[in-house]
Amino acid sequence: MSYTSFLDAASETAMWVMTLSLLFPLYRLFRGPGLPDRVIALDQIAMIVIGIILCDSIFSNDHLLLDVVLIVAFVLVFGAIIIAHYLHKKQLEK
Amino acid sequence: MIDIITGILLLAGALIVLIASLGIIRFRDLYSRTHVVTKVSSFAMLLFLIAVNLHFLSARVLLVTLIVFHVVVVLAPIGAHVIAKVNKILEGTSDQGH
Repeated sequence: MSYTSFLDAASETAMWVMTLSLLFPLYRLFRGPGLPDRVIALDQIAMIVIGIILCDSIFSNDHLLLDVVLIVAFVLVFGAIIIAHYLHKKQLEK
Repeated sequence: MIDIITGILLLAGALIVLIASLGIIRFRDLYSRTHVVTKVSSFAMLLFLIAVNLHFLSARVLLVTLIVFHVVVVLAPIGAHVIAKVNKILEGTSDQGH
């Protein structure tokens, strides 16, 4: 592997580290005791995906990838709130 | 010089994200895990957004980055708080045995 600059090497190393750290929330997503634990694991996965896309926007020198980050951040927030609302409604109906 | 600062910020953010992912596995109950997701990952996102701004140095990137920062730092803890509150309600009713 030959990198032209320190920034390329750093951003690709950061992407590798975050891709490997994606395994731990996936474990929590499959083995979590309840549904709220899985939602928290999904939040962490979305955070890691945001980090990977930010590193990729620096690595490929493309600032349009930041719009993708914006959409993923909104999906992260409103997904968690909507799942919590659904859980609460199901609890009230019981 | 700016490239080196950007690279160091990226590596530090990746390490903090790795620590947060370890916390997702190691911590025992849901409330500690929400603490990890909202605080530690938000700090890593702050480092990444500063790195992106140092690399591009344009007004449009600053605008989009500020929106992402507010969503991650203000709205994501609200989502985790709602999840924790619903979990407390679920635990409270399951303790009464029906």
